[in-house]
Amino acid sequence: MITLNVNGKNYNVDVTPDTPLLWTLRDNMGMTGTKYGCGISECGACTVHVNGQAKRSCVTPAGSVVGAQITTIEGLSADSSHPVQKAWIELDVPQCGYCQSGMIMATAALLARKPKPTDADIDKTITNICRCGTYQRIRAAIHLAAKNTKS
Amino acid sequence: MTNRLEMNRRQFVVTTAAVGGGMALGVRPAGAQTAADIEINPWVLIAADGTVSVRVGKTEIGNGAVSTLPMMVCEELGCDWNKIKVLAAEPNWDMKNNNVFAGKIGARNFNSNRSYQSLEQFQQAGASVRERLKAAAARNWNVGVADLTVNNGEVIHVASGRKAAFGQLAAQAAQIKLDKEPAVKAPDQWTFLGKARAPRTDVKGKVDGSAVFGLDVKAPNMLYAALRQSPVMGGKLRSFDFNAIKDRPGVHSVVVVDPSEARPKTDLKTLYAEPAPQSAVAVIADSFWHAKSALDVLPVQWDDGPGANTNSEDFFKTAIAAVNRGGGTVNRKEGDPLAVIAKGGKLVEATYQAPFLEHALMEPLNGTALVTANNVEMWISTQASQNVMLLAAIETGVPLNNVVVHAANAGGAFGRRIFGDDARMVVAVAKKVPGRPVKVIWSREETTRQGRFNPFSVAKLQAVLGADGLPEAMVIRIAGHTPSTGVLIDTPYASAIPNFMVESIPTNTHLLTGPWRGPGYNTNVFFLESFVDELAHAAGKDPMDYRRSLFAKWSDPAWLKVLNEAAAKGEWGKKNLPKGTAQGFAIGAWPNSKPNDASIIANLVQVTVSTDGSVKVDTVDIAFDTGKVLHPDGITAQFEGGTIMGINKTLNEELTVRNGRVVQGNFDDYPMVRIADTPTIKVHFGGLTGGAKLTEAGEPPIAPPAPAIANAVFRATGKRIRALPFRNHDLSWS
Repeated sequence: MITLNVNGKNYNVDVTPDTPLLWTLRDNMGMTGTKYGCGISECGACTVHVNGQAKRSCVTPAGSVVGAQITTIEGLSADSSHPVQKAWIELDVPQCGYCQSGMIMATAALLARKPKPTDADIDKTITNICRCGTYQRIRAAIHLAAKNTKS
Repeated sequence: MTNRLEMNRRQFVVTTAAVGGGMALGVRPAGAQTAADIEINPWVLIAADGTVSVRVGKTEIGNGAVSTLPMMVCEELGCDWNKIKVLAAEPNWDMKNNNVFAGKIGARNFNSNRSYQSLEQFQQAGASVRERLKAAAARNWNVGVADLTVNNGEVIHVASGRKAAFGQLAAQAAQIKLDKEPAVKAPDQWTFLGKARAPRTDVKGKVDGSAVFGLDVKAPNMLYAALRQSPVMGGKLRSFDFNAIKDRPGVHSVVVVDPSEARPKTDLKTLYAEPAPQSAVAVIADSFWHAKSALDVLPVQWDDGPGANTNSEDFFKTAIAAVNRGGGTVNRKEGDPLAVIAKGGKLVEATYQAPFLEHALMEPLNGTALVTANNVEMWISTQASQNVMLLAAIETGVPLNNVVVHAANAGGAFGRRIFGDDARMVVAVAKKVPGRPVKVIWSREETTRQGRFNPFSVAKLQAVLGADGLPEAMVIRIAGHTPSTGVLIDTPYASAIPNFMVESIPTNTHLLTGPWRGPGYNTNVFFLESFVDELAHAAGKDPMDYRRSLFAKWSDPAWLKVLNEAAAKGEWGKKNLPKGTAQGFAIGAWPNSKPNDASIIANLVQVTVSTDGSVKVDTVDIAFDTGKVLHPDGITAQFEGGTIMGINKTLNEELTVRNGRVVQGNFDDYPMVRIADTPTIKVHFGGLTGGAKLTEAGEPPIAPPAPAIANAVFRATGKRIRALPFRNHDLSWS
C-alpha cells in the first residue's frame, strides 16, 4: 500500500512501488484520461505533471512519486478552462484524440515554465507522437494558449 | 436508387419502440439518451430544452463522422449547432427495431466511417423533422405551413414574426405523420454544409480526459488479459508452464485460444473474410500490469508453422524476380506494348519497392467482453460495430439477438479496426472466463507484430518514349503480397499512351494483411508518379508540363484543374532555392481514377536535404477535387493529418521479417515524425469542380507525399530513391 497525492487529494493505493504510475492511475484509481501508448517513454500519451514538471508515467514507478504533487488531465482544470484546453477547443485540434491528454499536459508544463515559447522551444519540448498528424494545429494552439495566458 | 428512397420514406414514419443504445457505460462522445429526449424519427430526438439529439451509427475514429453527420441533419432542420447532442445508435438496438436505422445487416451506417455516404439519409431525417415541427406550429397558430420557416432552433411565422422553440413543439411533432416526405436541399441551396465551420462535437471529452476509448472501459468485477499470439503468424501453441507464474500477485489463470478448436455451427457470416483467431495464450489477472508482468515471464513454446525461416530480403528477391520474369495476370492491355519495347527506342525502366507497414494506432488493440451461456456484451474501439456483433455470435454460438456491442471512441483506426480480428480474439479469450468481464489488451509490441499489415510490393515500370518525349508504350508489372493494381489500371495517363499494359504477380507470404489507409493507392501512386517524373526527366521536359500533356486527352478536367491549382499556389518553378532544397509534385486519385467518381489530390512539396542526408519537408501545398465539400475545416484537418501520415510512411516506416517474425515492436524501431518534423501544410480549395460527385476526404492525402518527396529529393540531390522508406538511404552530400 502506498499513498499518492493526485489532483490535490491523497489516495491509498494497493500496488507495489515498482508498478508504473500509468497503470496505477488507470487500473487502480480509475483515472483513464492518462493513456497507454508505448510503455517505453517514446510517445508521451501518458504524460502527467509531477511537482509541475511533465513526466511520462509509463516509466515512472508509483513508489518514486510518493509525497509528490501529481496532476493528471482530469485535474488540469475543473471545467476545461485551462488556457491550453481552451485553445485546443477553439482550434478543433483533436482527431482521434487519444494522444491529446498527453499533448495538453506536456504543453501546460511548457507554458508554466516558459509562457511565450518559440517554435524552437516547442520543437524541443513537445516530442509526443500523434498518428493522426495534428501537429500543425497543436503548434498553433500552443501559441494561442500562450497569447491568452495572463502573465 | 428508387428502392433506397422508398425504403427510407417508410422508415421515416416509423417510431422505434425502444430507447437507443450506448447508455450502458456512456462509451460514446456526447452523451446518453434521457427521458427528456423525444424521438421524432429514428435519427432525431428533441428535448423540451431545445437539445437536438442525432443518432449516429458510424463510430468516431478521428475523421469527424460524429460531427459531419449531425451537420447534415442541421442543414435541413435549421437547428442551433450549440444544442446538438450525439447519441450512439447500436447494432443490437437496430436489429431489435427491424433495422429501421441502418436498413440491413452489413449496412454502411454501422460499418464505415465515411460520412458522405449518409448524406441523403441524414438530410432526409432533418427535413422530415423540420416539416413535422412546422406542421405542429401551423396547427397551433392556425396558419399555413407554407407561411412558416425555421432558423436557429425555432419555427417562425414569417408575416407576424411569431416564434416557437423546437423544444416546445417536439412532443406534438412526434405524433405528426406527413402525407409525403419533403425533398432535401440541393447542394446549391446549402447554407450550413460546405460553408460553416462547425466545432466538432467530440472535442470536449478529448481535452478533459473524459472521452472513453476502448482501453478506458470499466465494468464491474472486471479482469484483465495480457495477450500473446504466435510470434510467427499461422504458428501454433505447443506448451506453456502456468506453474511458473501461478503464485505471482493478482494472477487468475492462463487462457488458451486454439484456432482449430471446434466452434458452434452457424449460418452467420462475417462481413469481411477473417478466419478463426490466431493461436494465442493470455494471462488473466486483476490488473493489466499484473497480467503483463506475468506474461513476460511465462515460459511458452510455439510451433512456428510454414512461416518459419522466412525473411524480408527473400520476399523482395522473389518479387523482383517475378516482375523481371513477367507472365502474370494481365489486368489491362491496350495495343501491343511488349512489341514496342522489343523494337527498341528510347527505353526508360525502373523498379520500385515498398515494405510491409503497420497501422501504429495510438490506442493499442484491446476490447472488453462479458460472455455468459446465452449472452455477450462487449465494448470495443471499432470501425464496424455490426461486424463485431456477428463475430461475437460466431465465436460463441450465442444468438445474434443476445449480442450487445458498444462502440467506444477509437484511438486511431486507418483500416485496422475493420476486419475485427481484434474483436474476435477478445471474445475468444473472454469466453474462457465466463461470467466475468475481461479486458483484453495487446501491448504495443503485440499490436505492432500482430497487425494486419499494408502488404509489401514491388513494381517494375518500363516505357518507350516517342519523338515528342511522351510514352508510346508503357508496361507496369507489380508483384508482392496480394498486389493491387488499383489506380494503375485506370490511370488517366493511359489515355495518352497508345500501348499500355498492367500485369500483376502475387508472391504471397505468411503474413496477414488488411486495409491500411488507401489500400493499393497508398503505394501505387508512389510507383506511378515517381516514374512519370523519371520520364519527364528523360524527355528533358518540365514534370508539370509533361503531366499536362499526358492529361490533355483525358475526359475528366478535374486532373488539370487540381494540378494547376497546386502549381499556382505552391509557386511551381520557384527560383533561387538554396542548394539541397527543391520542389516536387505528385497527383493521384482515390479510390480509382474513373472520371467524376474519385477524389483527386495533388501535393506540391518543398524539401530540404541537409548535407548530412536528413530530409526535411518544408512546405506542402495541397489541391484537390472532391466535387463538393461537406465541412471545409474537416477536410482541412483530414488533409493536414493524412499528409503527416504520408510523410512518415515515406521517410520512416518499414516492418522487416526475420525467421518469420516481425522484428519491429515499438516506436523506437518503428519511428514517427514529431512536431519538429512538421512542414507548413496549406490546403487550397481552388481545384474543386463543384460537380455532381461527392467523394472521400480521409484516405486521399496518404499517397501523394511519397512521390512528391521522391521527386523533390531527386531535383535537390540528383539521387532517385525507388525503395521506401527514405531513412534506409544515404542522401548526404557536400
